Amino acid sequence: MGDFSIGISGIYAAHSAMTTIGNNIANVATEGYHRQRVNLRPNDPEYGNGVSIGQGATILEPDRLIDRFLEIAMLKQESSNEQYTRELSVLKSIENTFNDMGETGLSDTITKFYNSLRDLSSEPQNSVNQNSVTNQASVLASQLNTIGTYLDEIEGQIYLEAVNLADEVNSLSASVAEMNYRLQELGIHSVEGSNLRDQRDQAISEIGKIIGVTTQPVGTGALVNVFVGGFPIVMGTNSTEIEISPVTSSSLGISPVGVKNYNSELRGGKLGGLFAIKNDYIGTLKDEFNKLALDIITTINKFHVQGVPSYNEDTKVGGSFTTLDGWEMLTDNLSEIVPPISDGKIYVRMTDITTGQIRRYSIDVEAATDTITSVAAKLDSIDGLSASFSNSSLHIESGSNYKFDFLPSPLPSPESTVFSSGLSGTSVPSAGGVFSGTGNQNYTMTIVNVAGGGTVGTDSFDVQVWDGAAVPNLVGTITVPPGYTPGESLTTFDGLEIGFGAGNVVAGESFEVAALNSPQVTGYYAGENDETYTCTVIGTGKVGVTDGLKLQIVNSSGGIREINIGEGYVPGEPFLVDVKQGVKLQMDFYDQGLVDGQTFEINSLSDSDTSGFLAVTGINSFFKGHDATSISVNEKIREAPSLISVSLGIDMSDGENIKRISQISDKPMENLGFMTHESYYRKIATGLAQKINVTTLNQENSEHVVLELKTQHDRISGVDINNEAAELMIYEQMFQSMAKYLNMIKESMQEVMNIL
Amino acid sequence: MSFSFDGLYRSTSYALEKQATAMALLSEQVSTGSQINRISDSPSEANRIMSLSSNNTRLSYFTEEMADFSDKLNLASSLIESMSEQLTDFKGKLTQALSMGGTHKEALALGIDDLLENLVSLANTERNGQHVFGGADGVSKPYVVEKDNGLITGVYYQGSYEDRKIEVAPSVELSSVFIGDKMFRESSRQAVEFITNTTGAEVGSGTSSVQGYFELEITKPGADYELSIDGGLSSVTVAVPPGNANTAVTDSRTGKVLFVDTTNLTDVGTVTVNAPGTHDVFNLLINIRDLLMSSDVKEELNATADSFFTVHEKMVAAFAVIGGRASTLGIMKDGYENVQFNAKEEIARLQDADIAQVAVDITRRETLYQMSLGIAGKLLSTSLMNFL
Repeated sequence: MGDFSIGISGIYAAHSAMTTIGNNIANVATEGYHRQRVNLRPNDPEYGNGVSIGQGATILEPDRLIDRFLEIAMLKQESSNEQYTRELSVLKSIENTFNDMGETGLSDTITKFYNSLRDLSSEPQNSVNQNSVTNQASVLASQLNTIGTYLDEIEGQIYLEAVNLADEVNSLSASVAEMNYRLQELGIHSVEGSNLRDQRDQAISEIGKIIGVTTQPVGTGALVNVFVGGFPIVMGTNSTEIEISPVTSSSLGISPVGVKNYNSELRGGKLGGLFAIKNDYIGTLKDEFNKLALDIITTINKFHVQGVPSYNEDTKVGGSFTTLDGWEMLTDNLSEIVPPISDGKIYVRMTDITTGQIRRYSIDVEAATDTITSVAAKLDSIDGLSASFSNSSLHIESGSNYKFDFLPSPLPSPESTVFSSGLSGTSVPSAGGVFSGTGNQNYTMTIVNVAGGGTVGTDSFDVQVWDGAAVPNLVGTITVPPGYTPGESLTTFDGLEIGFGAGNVVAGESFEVAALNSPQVTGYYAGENDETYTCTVIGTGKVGVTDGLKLQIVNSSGGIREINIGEGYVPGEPFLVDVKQGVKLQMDFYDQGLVDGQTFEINSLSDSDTSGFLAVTGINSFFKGHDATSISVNEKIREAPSLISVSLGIDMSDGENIKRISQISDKPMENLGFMTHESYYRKIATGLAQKINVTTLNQENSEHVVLELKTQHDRISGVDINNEAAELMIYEQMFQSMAKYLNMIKESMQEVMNIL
Repeated sequence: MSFSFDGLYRSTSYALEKQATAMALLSEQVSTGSQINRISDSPSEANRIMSLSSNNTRLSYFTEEMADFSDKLNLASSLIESMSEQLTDFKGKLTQALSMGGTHKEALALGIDDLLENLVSLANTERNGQHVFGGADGVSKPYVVEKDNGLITGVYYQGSYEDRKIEVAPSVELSSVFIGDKMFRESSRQAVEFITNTTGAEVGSGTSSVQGYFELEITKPGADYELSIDGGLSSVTVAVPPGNANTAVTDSRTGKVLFVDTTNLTDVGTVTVNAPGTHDVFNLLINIRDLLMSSDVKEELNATADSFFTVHEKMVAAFAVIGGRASTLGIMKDGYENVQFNAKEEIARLQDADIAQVAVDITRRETLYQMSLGIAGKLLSTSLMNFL
């Protein structure tokens, strides 16, 4: 009956082979399927009559055509490709919000905003120009808001998507573990389970597309462990779930559930793409963008707070303030405020409306120790000014006879100085304050009531003030008490102040102070450093009359100019104190005349708030906010554009403040790496574009590599229908032949039976 | 070599996707006309385009500012021209009247108020809410007219003396305002003259800041003399003897000072004072009118007429200067427009799509797309299965 057995084994082998081929063809389009090859083996021969005769064929478990190294490479490259694809998608969506190749991009908006400021500087009281500035500023703020908000939203979306993807990974890893279990069961029965392995490997491949994984075959390879970022998510027949959580405000991390050991350096797959964008890029992009917005806010506010709205003589509107309110602050502590406040001074000008006298006061701001409340208290201590921090906002108000402002330009009248001192004591006297008395005065200050002499700050002494009359009159007596702080200003009268440096004074000695009323200062100062012009009278005589009467002007760097103010000079004719700046001086005629050696000072400030306190708390600031999402135009200015601080000059009708604000457009900003606002924005935009290009290149490369690997994979593991058809023909022929063979055997046997 | 169905499908899909993406990009280029539609299309060129575009926006502002300023100059120029024409006409009549009799003079004098009204109206011309000759304070009317019984007795400048410079081009600043009092007033101050004087007072050696014609009133209500140049609103008291070589008499309205030598003051009276080289055209006309109405003032009239001719010449000169500035500005504007034009050309060169090239590229991509489809169809349709 061996012949029948051979026939049956052949038929069985052919049938099994056709089944394998059918399985291959059926999976021709199945993702992750590996071709199976028919595996036949001849049966052992039988020996008889000295010969061995073959006993047909046996079919073994079909071979699964697979290249392990290729599979690992594919897993890795597909993972990279998914990462780059996801990165690219997010980056392109960010680029779309920039929209900078059109005419409405931020680059153009920044330029248009500065153009509108330039326009206003030419006609500072023109309401159309004022409206144009607030409109352009609103457009700029709105565009910064849009991009800033989008970057915030995209961060939120990334987090949600990452959580969803982690859920998918968890589901797939559970499936892999379950298939590992089934394969383990099959292994017990020595069954290969090729299709199940394909299913399992395909699930691992799906995980790889979501997250970068490494695999580790267990034993003969029936089971596979899967690792993510160094920790296992599948170990044999068990799986571990992962979770996503924010690690810092700008980064996400992944950890096995419950372990809380977050890894932020994850790469590969869609999740890796999201991590790369969120953890390595979007934070930097946001920082750069917020830095730009903050620089626009701080630089413009820095100048804006110092100016005043243009004064209109007809309507009496504009000029100095009677009240200013800051915006709502989240904290009282200066050290917690963003943008940061630094140590510095705030200079406040107070105008007495009834007398017209203008005085400048300064207060110190210490960022580490002060609060808004304490700074308000310091402001409140200034004569004619009240300030408070209530309902979370700063309020500054002048008394009924006062107005205030923060103009850095010099005071309209120069400050008094000591011009003659022959003291033998070591204490150096000083004078200051704007003289509001009549005419020009030379006061002689005589130290008395201190027997022999004394030490400033320790001993009490008096200072007698004598006027400059031919027979001097005692105008008053000032007491310098024990406990006096050397250098402190003591108010005398008519705005005149005196002080004494540390050291000793000698009784009976005198010094002279020039208190001049006739020089009038006009114009503005827009220099980058504080400047003191010391003006000294050369010659004795009357302005416009005395031949040879001159005024020597020395700036703080020692530059000297001499101006004729005697015969030939028209009294009251203004002349420039400094040809590079707009400060002008006019010497009016006063019958008392000037005395050789008399000096007075013109003090100009580059910045009347060196701490940045006013801008940050919203006192007369143009922009509000501290980053791209919060920037907006001060509501009060938006509602009344005439409140824009356009003027800087003493007469408050110029456009110098808005002019210097407009010139910010061309200034390289230190905080922005010495780039202008517009060029810094272009750097951000082109940086993003370059990242897109690099990522595109990486994505295309990895896509190409994946394609190549898949082609190679197809050569090994893919199903070629023609091959399968050819093999099918062979096995069909084999089947038919074996059937014929069986029939022949049967007929042969029949013949034998017929003989019987 | 064998190929699998899956592999065939994948490579076909890849090829089709590539061609479709390329065609979509080309189609976008056709529809927008630009080969760079987003910065990532070419970051370096996009950066250049943004920089050029931003610079163009900035230059557009400057060219518009120059055009606007040029219009302002032209308006100022035409106003001065118009004023000048009227003054030229008056000058002719005045020259004629000076050589003729009283009735002619009176007739001319009667027409001066109308002329003044006209001139002041022109000097107060507004443009976009700003007065052309008001200095930095363009809001307030620069000139006000004072009348007495319907007769103009004074024209006063109340505009600003402050200049305002605007940036008409990068780092180029020009004065953007016209200070009327400087435009229509002489600017060659000379020593003050006392015209009619019987008081013994003399001109002080100090440099007076007073302007034009006015009267110095010297009174003696008590033992000392009192001197006033503001119609008695304020006065300075001086004891003579000894008097003072430079008694400063101040106009309380303007702060202007007249230095008077009072050492030889002997009598009270009214002194007509002239500050040569400081006259403005309006008050000169008022003075001429008053002189034309008076008799025996030929010398004064001639002197006033001379001042008038000087101011007129200054205005004519200003007209030419302003015209020249407008012309310079026009040249500068043309230069910047050229820069803008070149920048636009460069932007176009960098950004504009070459439509012919794009059309060829689309055709090529389309052919490749069809080939990919065709080959895949052929390969997929030819199978050994057909022969089974």
